[in-house]
Amino acid sequence: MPKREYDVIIVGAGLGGLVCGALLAKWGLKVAVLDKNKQPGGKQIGVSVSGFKGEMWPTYGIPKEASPFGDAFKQLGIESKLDLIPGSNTLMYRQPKGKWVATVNPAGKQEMDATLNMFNAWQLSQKETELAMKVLAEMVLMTPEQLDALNDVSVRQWVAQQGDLPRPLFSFLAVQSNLMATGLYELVAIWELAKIMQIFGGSTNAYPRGGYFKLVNDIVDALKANGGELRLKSRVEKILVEDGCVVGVGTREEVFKAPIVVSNAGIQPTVLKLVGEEHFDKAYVNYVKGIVPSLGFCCQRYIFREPVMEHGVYVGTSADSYIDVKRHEEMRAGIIPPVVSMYAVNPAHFDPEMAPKGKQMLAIGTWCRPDPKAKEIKALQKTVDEQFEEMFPREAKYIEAKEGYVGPAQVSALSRDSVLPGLGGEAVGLAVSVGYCGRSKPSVKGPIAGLFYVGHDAGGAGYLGTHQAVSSGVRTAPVIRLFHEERTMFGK
Amino acid sequence: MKLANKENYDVIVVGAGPGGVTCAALLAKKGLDVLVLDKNERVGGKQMTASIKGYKGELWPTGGLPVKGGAWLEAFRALGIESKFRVRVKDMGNLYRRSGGEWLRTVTRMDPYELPDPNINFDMWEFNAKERELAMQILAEIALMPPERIGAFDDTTVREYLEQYEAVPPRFYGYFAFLTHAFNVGLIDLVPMSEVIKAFQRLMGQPLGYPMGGYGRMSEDFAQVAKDYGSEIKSRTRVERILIEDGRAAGVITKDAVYRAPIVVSNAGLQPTVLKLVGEQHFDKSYVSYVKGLLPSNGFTGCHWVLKEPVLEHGLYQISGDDAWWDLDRQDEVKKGKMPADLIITVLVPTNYDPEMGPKGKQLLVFGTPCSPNPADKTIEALWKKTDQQMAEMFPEIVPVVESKGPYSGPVQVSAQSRDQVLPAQGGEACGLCVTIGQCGKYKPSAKSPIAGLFYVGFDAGSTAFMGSQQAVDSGLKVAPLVYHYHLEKRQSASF
Repeated sequence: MPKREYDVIIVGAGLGGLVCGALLAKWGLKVAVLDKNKQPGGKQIGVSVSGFKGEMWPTYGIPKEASPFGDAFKQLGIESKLDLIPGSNTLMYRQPKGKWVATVNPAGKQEMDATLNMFNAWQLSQKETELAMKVLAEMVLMTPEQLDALNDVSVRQWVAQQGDLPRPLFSFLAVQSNLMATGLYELVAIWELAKIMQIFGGSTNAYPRGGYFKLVNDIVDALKANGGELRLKSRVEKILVEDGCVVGVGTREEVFKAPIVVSNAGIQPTVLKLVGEEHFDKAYVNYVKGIVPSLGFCCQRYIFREPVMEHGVYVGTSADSYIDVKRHEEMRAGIIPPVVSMYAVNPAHFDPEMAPKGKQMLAIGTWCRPDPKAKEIKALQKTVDEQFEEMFPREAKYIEAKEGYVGPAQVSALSRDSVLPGLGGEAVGLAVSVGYCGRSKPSVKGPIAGLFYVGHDAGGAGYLGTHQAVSSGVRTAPVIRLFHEERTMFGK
Repeated sequence: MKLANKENYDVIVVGAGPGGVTCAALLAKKGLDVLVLDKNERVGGKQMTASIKGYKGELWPTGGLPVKGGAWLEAFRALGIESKFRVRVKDMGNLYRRSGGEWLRTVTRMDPYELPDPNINFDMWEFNAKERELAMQILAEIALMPPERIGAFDDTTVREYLEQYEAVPPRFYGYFAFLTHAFNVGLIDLVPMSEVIKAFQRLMGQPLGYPMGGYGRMSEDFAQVAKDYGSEIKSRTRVERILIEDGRAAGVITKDAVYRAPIVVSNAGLQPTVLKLVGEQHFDKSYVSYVKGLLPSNGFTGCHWVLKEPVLEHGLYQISGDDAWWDLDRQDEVKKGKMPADLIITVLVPTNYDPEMGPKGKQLLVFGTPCSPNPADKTIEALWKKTDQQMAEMFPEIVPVVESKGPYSGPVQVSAQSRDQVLPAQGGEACGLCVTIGQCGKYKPSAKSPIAGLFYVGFDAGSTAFMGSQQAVDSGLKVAPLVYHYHLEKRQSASF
């Protein structure tokens, strides 16, 4: 068996792993990134079919002003490659009598008018509007110190302190917990949600020219330009540990030696499968087993023969479309809510190169349980199809093809191995809820010398999934460099 | 072994002490299916209501229930039964003896409440102007310390705190040794100052009383709430094991049944839970060593006297003196058989607060003194004898009317009623573990154990400072939301 030696091996070429690897390579470390898939990017794998390009799941929302992507590209010296295009987005709200009302946010900074329009769509009274304004303002205007104090408070607990909220506002916060924090409002920390809303509300949100996949490729190029290696179709079967220290990884054919292994494979698969329980204390294993997953996402693509979808992003909700703990349980029993929260991105709206001229592709979907064995996925996707027709009766007639129906099983195959029952198909990763985010976020430093985690599970700080992964890459890399320097200094 | 009639619960609470019943009732109110198991006849743990020759009461003197604030009141509110929080306030008698002198008597007015004048004590202690000034300075500093500063004294013992000042009068030092006993059932050499300051601040601003029907009745009220929300309380059911499956709590085993639940909340004490009910093999070595190393609080001995007629006027008496307080050196001396000249004694007169606590026209005295928590301690009988002697000496007027004496109780009885002894010299703690540096304040053991689904509730874990049962109830208030959050997490996860 040939042996290869590196300073750092990164397991998994998701955005966290790639950013971390590229930065370490740029700082002079000998880096290899290994991934089981044919393409890099993890969950943000690119889709390219008959002239259409895009993501497998609707993804949007890179702040133009400041974002982990911006940080990463700047530090890698490829800032000029990040071309962010703002677009218009539409919030669609189904009123109790079944009428869908749209609130359009034009491209650019979020305006107060849009919020007021949203309240109109909710049919709030003057008094309710005032209360809603007050509650949202409170979230958006929280100081960092106030936010920090809310690490351990769930959205539900916080809402309970705000008095008697109008039903649509309560639903909005419950829905946002699903949408933005990819969790359940009883568990998601208000810290996460408020932080997301602050960033989202205070910035110009955009889509990258060429799609997220182009960003993945840019980072891969930076990795390679700095001497790093990317090895695809290389599934790591074991992280090797000797004497309580990491010594490398083994694929089916080869051993790659390195005193530092950074796992982008998810904290649970890393501990329970790649390293193995026997190398950890019992309490740590119990802790790792108990970390709460995010929700999953299931979706499909619509191909339009004419560019009938006017906006870049569509969000569809109702006062009753959120998933809470009870609904989550009901979904397991196959009960689908009458209206689902729906999310869709139209890449060609931002970058016309993303679709053949005169055509459009819409990635659309809804939230689900993260269980790769979830049986209700088909029913959910059918609900999305039906709901789209109800929301867009005119546009639906232009759909040429519906394809790419995927859910937790495909997410898990692409990214996180399922090592615990019901887990693996998380849309973003673990750790979005009280006890697992903010200052309680799992440490990037594993309890084994030389083992680090990168990605959404560890090291990142509040904001949407992909961003937490990129942020984790940016934050973890210096910790690893320091560890590398410590080792070099002591001649180990 | 058979499976119980009803197989699955959301939560099983082991032990129905004040912490256990508070937590159980709150969770039941949240809609969880809760089972509470307790080895005793009645709920209430160390403060179980006992019936003694037609009298009701606790086995040990428990008084000083804050009327306007504190965990008990918060819990009554949280459970929606505030109207049942009925506390009667009576004045408190204070007795103090200077070395070789007479017993000096003062009264702290509780009804109506008057903030006690420190000069009364200073006079009793014969402080000169300079001593008065220093004592005032120290008392003011403690009374007015803002919450964010108190935590800084988690690592400073009461003794070290006083040693910062030059020439603290010995009587003032003795006063703090007494407070450390009274508030924390610990020793001035070990208890952190932060605990004493927190208790001092909470107690100083409000009248103190005794609950109508006794402390045990309050636990019974909480148990009733749990039942009203559909939970089961099984008395006389000793849990022998907590079941662990795949690193997670899975239920409990009693002598003749298995009850399953994915969450077990133990009110049986941290050490018995880890070392006996779960078993060391399920924990990391460092955790087992940590648990074994936790220091117990002091114990308490209690005696009951029934008087033919009501003689004592007040509800509660606190007795101390120049030679009454204990520290580590004095405790060592007592172990060797050298009894101090006087004892710290607390006397509770339940019938003065609530005449229903005994037959009409008679008076029940429950009194006692701190002691070692060791059920095997040989000095307990000597302490009982000394307590009886001192009672007769302090209150000669009661001697002719004593109708009966006993039962006497100490660490053996405390342990039998509450904490199983699993380590030498432990089990008979008056309030639980963790009153010393490294075990309270920010170092208080976590209520979340290293095993998923296993939580602790009660004095040992999850709460911050205050006196025994207040701290247990506070733990119940704080642990219930943690447990509920875990329950929600598990409901989300399919593996549940």
